[in-house]
Amino acid sequence: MSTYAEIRKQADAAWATWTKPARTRLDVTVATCSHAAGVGATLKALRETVAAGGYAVDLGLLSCGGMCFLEPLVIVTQPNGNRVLYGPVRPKDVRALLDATVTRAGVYPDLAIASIAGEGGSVPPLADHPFMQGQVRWLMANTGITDPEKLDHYIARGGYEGLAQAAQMEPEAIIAEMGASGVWGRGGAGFPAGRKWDFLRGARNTPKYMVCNADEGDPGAFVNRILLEGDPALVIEGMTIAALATGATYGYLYIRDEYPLGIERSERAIKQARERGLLGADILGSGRDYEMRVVRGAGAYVCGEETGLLSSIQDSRGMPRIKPPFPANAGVFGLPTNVNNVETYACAPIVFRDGAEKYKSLGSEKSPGTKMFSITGDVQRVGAMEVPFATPTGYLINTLCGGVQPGRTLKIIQPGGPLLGMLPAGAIDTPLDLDPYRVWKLGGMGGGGIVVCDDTTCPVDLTAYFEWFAEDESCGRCTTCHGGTQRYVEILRRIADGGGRASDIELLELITSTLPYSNCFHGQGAPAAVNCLLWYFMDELQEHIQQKRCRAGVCRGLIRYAVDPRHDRDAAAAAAICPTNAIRQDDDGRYFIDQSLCIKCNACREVQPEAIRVDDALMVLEPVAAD
Amino acid sequence: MPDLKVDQRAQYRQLLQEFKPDSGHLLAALHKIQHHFGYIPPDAVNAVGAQLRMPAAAVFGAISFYSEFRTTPPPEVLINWCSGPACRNKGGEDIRRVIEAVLALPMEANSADERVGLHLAQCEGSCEYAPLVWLRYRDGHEDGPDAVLVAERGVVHGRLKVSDAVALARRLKAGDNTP
Repeated sequence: MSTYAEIRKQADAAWATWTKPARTRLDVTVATCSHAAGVGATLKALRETVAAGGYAVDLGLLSCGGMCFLEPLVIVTQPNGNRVLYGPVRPKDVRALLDATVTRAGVYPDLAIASIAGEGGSVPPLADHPFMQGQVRWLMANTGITDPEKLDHYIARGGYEGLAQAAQMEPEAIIAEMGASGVWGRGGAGFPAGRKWDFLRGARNTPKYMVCNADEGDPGAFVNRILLEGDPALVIEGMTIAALATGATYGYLYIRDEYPLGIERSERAIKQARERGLLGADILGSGRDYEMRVVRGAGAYVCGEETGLLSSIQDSRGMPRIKPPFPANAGVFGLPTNVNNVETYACAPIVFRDGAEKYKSLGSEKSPGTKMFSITGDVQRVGAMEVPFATPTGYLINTLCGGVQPGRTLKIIQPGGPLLGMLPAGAIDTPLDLDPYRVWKLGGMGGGGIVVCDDTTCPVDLTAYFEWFAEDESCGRCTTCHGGTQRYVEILRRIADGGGRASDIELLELITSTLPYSNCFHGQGAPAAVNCLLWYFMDELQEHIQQKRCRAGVCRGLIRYAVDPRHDRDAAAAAAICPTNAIRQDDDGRYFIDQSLCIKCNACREVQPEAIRVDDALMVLEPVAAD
Repeated sequence: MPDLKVDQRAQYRQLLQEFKPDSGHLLAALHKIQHHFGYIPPDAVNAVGAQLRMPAAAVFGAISFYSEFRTTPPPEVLINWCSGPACRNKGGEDIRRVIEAVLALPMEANSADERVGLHLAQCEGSCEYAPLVWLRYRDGHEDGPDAVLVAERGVVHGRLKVSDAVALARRLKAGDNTP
């Protein structure tokens, strides 16, 4: 068995070679987002150009550091230790980049974003980049900087220092330190991590289990993916610290099926930790044993509910269970289990490496430390970031992500998944913390996935989408949930199709009154979107129901596409793209749209915006009196 | 119950030998079968049940619970349509209607010749490139640092315009499967 000092020495040597390589190296970001950005073509072009041109260069690997909007990203590391970040690097840029950085051993200014290490020269340091302003990277310290497939990189940058500390502490002291840090569960419920660990430590039955919930299913949320693809060892170390504190001897890292790269890299990090004695028997001389493995989900949102997750691990459908008993007493296989979110475990190595006092130096009194967020939807720059708790929501949306597109206005902020509803634009000043978000009568702040919608979004349509999602992902146990969400969807779709009735408001409220009797948070959270629709967007809902109008022009039953007669000549291209041949010519050669064929897909308007217009289909000018 | 052919039974046994009862191995066993065959063949249900000493009903119950297990062979090209909110905001629903209309293919169905299929996919957070669909090809994957993404995500069509979705769907309909 090696000591931490020996493991660290080996890691430091590997990191020194990596940061000052014998010859220039190009590290390419391979992540789910860079794959979507076309990194495959960039990699292929790099390999081919290097081979054909005989460049003296090596290729390495990176993960996404949150700047999804600049993918595919490449870091060029020079033998003198200068590291410069470039992006987006497309196949056409590869030769010029290689010529500038390898042949001339310099900088390629056209695509240079920031200096990561060494002398940047004219390239400003990464810390000065507008996207990094106000960010504090504790959890994301390595993402986008290290090779996520090399555990030595993680260790050389302070990884497993926390575990080395914890391995010398008594379980009670570990739990006290975690409690003192004030870290609470990042999955959304906000329960203090130290207390949860203490429940498991106090449980009598053995063996005890660690479970990490990486079933990040909220559409639009991807903070866990950034960690699992970029620095999986942080999560694994956190689980190991929790195991030493609680007496758990086995752990399951449950990752959703949609994250195959996160699964692959987590499995590799587990294997590498085992090889170094950081998993297994007598971890770092603590006298305590802990092993773990990855469990791959298979596509079920409700497995993100902690008891659904336990059922899924334990050989069955991922049906949430009735609590109590709580997992600390009867979890996976009916044995004591601690379930935490990815980010909750990821905080532990930071707390034990730097101490609870330092951890508490940032954030708010109730929520010390930092939180990761992903911002997506109608913003100019989509990305993942880490900021101290209580940072205003608007700082992330407007300053870091550039706000909505020019000419548009912010309309809806969805703070944390379909089960936490949607807020009006006024929520932008809300500090990202537990209590401020409760002002909006929501269950909490959510897991960190924020979706931004501009004025082209219809809240009725969005609510129908959330409720469809809740219905589709309901496990089916509770009639309130699977039946209630079905009724929600029927009513909302009927309204969007032009069949809204004044009595629909009461019907929605009636369903809402039954959903709290669902067993788990899936059913209990399902009314949030409908509630928000009634609380914050009632005028638009009434417009749909009474005037049969969708002001955003989204609800398909309330709009119709028409050829603008003034631009009839331009309609030929629109007719050619129409997937259903709905745009036809009458006997006089004038174009018209056959409404029975039109699927309102907008392809025609995209190619001929002047020739095709969108009208209200059913608009009733005089409001219908409520019955 | 169909009588399994001896060689197929042996193949299942070999694939499943690492999995044990009461150990939380069901998902891993099903993934292994699906990875090998591209789907979970009907007679694999009994084989998994026998290996894990679970009733076939419990095995099938789990298969049917999860949206990423297939019980029919995958098509040559599986169009994964992202259902996430960022894609929806940027015209994802338009793209879905176009693909369904051009290929005359409802969600979760394959074309009659098993060449093209359509699948409702969940958001995986590449929302900078929304709206997106990704085309997963049954055959022809290469090695590389992005191999797992190429195999499992396939070819991503990001920032897809509706008119480009029409063109893509027409190309697939005409029999052109090239990425």
